[in-house]
Amino acid sequence: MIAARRIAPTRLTAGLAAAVVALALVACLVGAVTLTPGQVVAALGRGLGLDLDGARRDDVIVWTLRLPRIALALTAGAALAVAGALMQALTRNPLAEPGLLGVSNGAAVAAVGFIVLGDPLVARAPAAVVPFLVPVAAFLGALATTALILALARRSAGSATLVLIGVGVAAVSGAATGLLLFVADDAQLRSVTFWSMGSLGGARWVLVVPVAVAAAVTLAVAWRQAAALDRLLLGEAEARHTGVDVERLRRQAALAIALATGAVVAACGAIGFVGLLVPHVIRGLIGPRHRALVIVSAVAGGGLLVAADLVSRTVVAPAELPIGIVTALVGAPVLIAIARARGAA
Amino acid sequence: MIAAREVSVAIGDRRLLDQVSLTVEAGELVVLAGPNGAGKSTLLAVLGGDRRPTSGVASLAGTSPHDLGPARLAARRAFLPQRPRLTAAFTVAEVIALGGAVDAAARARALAAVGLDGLGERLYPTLSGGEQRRVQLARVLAQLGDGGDRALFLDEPTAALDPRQQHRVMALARRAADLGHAVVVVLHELTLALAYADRIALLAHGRLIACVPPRRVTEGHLALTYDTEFELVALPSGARAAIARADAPPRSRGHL
Repeated sequence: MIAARRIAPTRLTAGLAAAVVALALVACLVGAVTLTPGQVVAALGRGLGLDLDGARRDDVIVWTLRLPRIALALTAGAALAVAGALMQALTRNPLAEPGLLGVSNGAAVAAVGFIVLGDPLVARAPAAVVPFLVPVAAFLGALATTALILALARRSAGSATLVLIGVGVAAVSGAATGLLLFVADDAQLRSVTFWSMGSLGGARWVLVVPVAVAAAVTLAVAWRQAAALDRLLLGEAEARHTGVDVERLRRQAALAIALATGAVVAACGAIGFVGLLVPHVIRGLIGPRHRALVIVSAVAGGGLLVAADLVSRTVVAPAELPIGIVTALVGAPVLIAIARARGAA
Repeated sequence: MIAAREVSVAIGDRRLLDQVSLTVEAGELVVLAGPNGAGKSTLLAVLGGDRRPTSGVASLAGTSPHDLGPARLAARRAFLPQRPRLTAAFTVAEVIALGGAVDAAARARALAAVGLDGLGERLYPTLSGGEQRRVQLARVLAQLGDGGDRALFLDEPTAALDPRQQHRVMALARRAADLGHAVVVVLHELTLALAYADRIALLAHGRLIACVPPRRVTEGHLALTYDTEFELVALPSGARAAIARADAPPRSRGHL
C-alpha cells in the first residue's frame, strides 16, 4: 500500500523559520565590511533603543544597508511564493507561475518606458524622489495591466481564458518593451538590463513597506480562501458543486497575484523561478492543502530570496550579480531535475 | 423536490434540450437514459443549477437553483460530474473531506459505503480509474449527509466500474432515495436502470420520449430513443434485461 509520505507542516515551518533566522544573521554579518556577531547585536540593540556604545558606522551598515535588504528579500520572496501557490491553484497547473497573468510584463513596460523616455521628468523631480520614480512607474504599469486583463476577462468563463488573455497581454507588453529597447541608448540599456534581471540593491525601508503590505494581503487572501482553493483542485464545476463562489475566488486571487507581482517587480525588478519553484517543491513535501501550503511557501520563499541575495552580493564582490540570475541558475536545474524525476516515475 | 417545466437549452440554433418537463419527488430515484448527445448531462446541469435554461423554469425544493448562492446550493444538492479531473496529490481522506464531511467517522463511513475501507491514507493519484470514481462518489455522498430531503445528481456514476461495483453504486443511489433524497442518475446501463430506478426518463435529440416506471418501459420506447432494435428479456430473478441488437435499425424506418 502506497501511503502518503509527507513532512508535518508545523515541523517543516519550524525548521525553515530557524534556517531563515540563521540566514538573516549571516546576511547581517557578510558584505563589503565584515561585522562580528557582537557588532551586529550591538547595532541591533542601539536601533531598538538600548544604547550600548557608540560605533555609528556599524549602525549605518546594519540598519540602513543590510536589514532593509533582508526585509525586502523576506517579504518579496514570501509575496512571490504565495502568489505562485495562488496561480497554481487558479490554473490547476502545479507548474504555473505568477508571471502568467502578464502583470510583471506590464510593470516592465512601464519601468523600461520610464528609464528610456523619463529623463525630462527625472530632471525636474526633487532629488529625494528620483530613486522611487522607476518603482512607482512599474507599480502603475502593474495596476494598469491588471485592470486591462480583468476588463478583458470579465465576460469570459474559465481560468484558462484568464491565463490566455494574460499571455496575450504579456506578448504585447514584450513587444512594447522591445520597441523601447530599440530606441534606448547604451546607458539606458545597461540600467534596463540590470533592472530586468532583478536586484535588491535599491532596498530601503520605504520600499519594504509596500512589498510587506502586498505580501501580507496576498497571504491573507490565500489563507482565508484556503479551503476554497483546495476544492478548486477538484475542478471548477466540482468547486461550484461543493459551495465555492468560483468567480469571486478567481477575482480575489487574480487581484492578490497582481498586487504581489506588481509590488515585487516595482521594488526589485523581475525575479524569476521563486513563484514557480517554491510552492511546487513545498507541495511535494507537505501535500496540496493550501492552509499549510501558503504559510510554509511564504517562509521558504522569503528564506530562498535572502539566500539568493547573499550569494548575489558576495560571489563577485565588490560587484553584485542581479538576483534574477542567481534564482534562475539555482531554480532552472531544480526544475529540470523535478521534471526528469517525474518522467522516470 | 426537483422540477423542470418546459425547459429548453439552445446554443445558437442548436437545441440541446427542447421543452423538457420532469419532476422528481423526495425519496424517488429517476434514471436519465438516451443515446450520446441526447441532452442528459445538459438536463442534469439545468436541474442541479449549473446551467441556466434558455427558456422554461427549473426548481429545487421550491426555488430556482440559479437564484441560490453556491454555498446555499451546496447545502441542498450534491453533484457528481461525468469526468473527475483531480490530479493533485491529496490523500483519499482529504478528497472526501472536500465534500464537507470533516469528522473522521463520517469520512470512514463514506469510504466503507463505496467499498474502499481503510484506503483513507492512500494518495488519490495512485488509485485506479475505477477507485478514483468511487472516491469521488464517497465525497459526494459525504456532502449529501444522512439527513434526507436533499437532491443528489450523478452523471454516469457507473462508467469505468466493474459489474459488481456498478451494482454497489446503484444500491447506494437507491439507499439515498430511501433516506428521502431526490436522486437523478444519468446511466447507459439500461439493465441497471430497469433494476434500480423508480422511473426512467428516456431522452433523444433533446426531447423527452417517455418517463415511466421500469415495468412500463417497452421495446418500442427504446427503439425510438436509441434508433436501434432492442430486446427486453425477462430474467429468472424477475428483473428484465435490455439488450440492443447489433446493426438493426428500427423496423418502422424500413430499409433503403
